[in-house]
Amino acid sequence: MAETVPSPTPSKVESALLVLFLPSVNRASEPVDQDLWVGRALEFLGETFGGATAFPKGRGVWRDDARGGSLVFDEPVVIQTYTNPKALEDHHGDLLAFLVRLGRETEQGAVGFVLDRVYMEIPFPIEDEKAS
Amino acid sequence: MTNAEIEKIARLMGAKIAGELPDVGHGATGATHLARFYQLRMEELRTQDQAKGSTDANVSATETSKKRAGEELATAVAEAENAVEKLNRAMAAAKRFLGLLASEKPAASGSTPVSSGAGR
Repeated sequence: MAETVPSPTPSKVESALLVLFLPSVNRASEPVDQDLWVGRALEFLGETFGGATAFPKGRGVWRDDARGGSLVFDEPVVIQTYTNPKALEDHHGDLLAFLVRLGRETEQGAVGFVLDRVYMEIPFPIEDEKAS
Repeated sequence: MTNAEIEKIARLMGAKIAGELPDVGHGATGATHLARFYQLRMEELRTQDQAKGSTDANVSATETSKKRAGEELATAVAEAENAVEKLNRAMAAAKRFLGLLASEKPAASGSTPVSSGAGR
């Protein structure tokens, strides 16, 4: 009988899932440079939380029957990273800065992200754009 | 993460908790479901934006209408002032003319008054 191979021990165990959404359009449904922001997000999450995985949009997956079968207008890239509460607390300022930059430069009404199963938003009211 | 930890991060970042999602799993399948949720949420926000824009347009139209009404009123007042000025000038000219007529009366003494009412 073959010897049992000891299973490798993970170098780190993270307990929190952070999910970012990289939009394909701005608040007026005009296209934004999504590839650029996916690259920036991966770089940021890699440096800050040690890694991330991007799940590109699945074109055609979301035929929207409720809208007469028309294609939905935003096809976000979803980026997942595993982290932990302490790292999130330590780097919340960096994460906020990144999300605010994403929201302002791609002209979003809001930037969404998920922590475990909780969906959160940083809103960008229209008045903000007028003021800036 | 505990709810308290999540709420703390939200508070630190000034983020609004929009809701708790069902457990859609991790990896590609989870990402697909999360993307769908995000799409619906963004659509909802854009609809709110458009509704607000429509309200702003109505307010703007009302303001434009008020401005236009104000301009029309100002024009009407200016025209009325011109008319009054013309009327005053006409009245002044008429008074001068009547004054001239009155000054010429003595030279026409003995003649029959134009409107004496006599004979009635």
